[in-house]
Amino acid sequence: MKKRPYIYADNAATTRLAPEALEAMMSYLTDEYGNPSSLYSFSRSAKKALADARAVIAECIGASPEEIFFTSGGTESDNWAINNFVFAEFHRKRKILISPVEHHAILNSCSKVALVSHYVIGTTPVDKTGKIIIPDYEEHVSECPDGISIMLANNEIGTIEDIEHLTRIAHRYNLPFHTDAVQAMGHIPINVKTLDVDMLSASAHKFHGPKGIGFLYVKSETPMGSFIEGGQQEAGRRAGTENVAAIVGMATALRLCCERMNEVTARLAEMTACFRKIINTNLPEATFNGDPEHRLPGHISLSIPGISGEGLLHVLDLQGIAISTGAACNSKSTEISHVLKAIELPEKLAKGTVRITFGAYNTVDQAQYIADKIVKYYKTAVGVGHARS
Amino acid sequence: MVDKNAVGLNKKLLGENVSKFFCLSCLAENLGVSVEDLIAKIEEFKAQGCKLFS
Repeated sequence: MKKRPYIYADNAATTRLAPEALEAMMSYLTDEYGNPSSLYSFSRSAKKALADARAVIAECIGASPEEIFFTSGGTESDNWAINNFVFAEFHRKRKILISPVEHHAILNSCSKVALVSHYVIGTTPVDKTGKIIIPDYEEHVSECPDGISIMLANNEIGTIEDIEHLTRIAHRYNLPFHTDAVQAMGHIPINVKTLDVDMLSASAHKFHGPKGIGFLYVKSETPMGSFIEGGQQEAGRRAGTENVAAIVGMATALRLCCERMNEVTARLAEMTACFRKIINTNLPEATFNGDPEHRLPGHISLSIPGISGEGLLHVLDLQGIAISTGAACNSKSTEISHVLKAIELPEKLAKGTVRITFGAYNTVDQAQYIADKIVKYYKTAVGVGHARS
Repeated sequence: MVDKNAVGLNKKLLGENVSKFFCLSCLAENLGVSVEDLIAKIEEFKAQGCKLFS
């Protein structure tokens, strides 16, 4: 029997490079390798590619080209944004407000700022779906922190925050607002003017672009410090010779995602509906995490009471399927993710949580196959007396 | 024969509170994979330093 090809259903972790992006990159990896900062004509095409890519990305998110700063990815963009709150000393309260479900790129960057610059990190709570609790948020904002960073969509549970509402409240107090849009970029419509954010982070490999490249949007007139010292690249704020090929690949991938968004979103809805139907029919005790309506397309966070999410991940891997888990074992214990803790998911459910994230290259047939395999795994686990404890 | 590695793999794949243990060939049959795949997984867990395996 022919072996089924490996099914990749962990698109929240990373995505396959779009062939169109690879094709667009190739000439800058081979023939057109000039340094865009050089003065001779050989570098002209690289310089133009850089400007064109910046313009494409800006257009995709409703920004101006000069508001786009290329970085090495989402983590660097997040770190830069947090550092910028410190650099700008917007309100000199020495406080930054975040949510407890932020990515570690924000959480750990804030921890460093707290340690080195003696900033206080405030945390505004979320409800059981991962959405910011507005009255609590308003109270925190009224204390006028130097900056606020709340993610647009959560990588683990898929919940999309109402950023427009959050920035409206923040701007009543003239507070700068950053959003980590790494998980959302290219998958839902994003317009920085509508969201009214002051800074926004994105990473190319989450939307079928290459790894190691991303960008930070910074609204014009926002006070902004440099992040890497050296040459005059990125308006003197982020030194280092630009990765032209990756930047071109990122712009191509984002343009394609925006052009195909409606079609891909519709297909992802079919996949998730098929998957959920099989799970709901066969595993009525299972629950789906995150906001049921305002969520990323193709994103499923599933908790099955009594099973080991990590065990399920490994078994599916053996069966040629890649998914992710919300609780991973280390040498001493099973560590439950900070996001599942923040939404107060009971431990029994948290340990049995897996994340399945479909992408543009998945099919309904694959969604059905994965759901069937999960049901079969559950029955095997019940058979050896582990589940239904 | 259910040796320490098979017990470890049962716990790792089916959950730490598992009360019945499959030998590798029965575990492979139940999960629809090959014994070779399971042995490769054991080696992977060992390399990660998992103490369930020897």
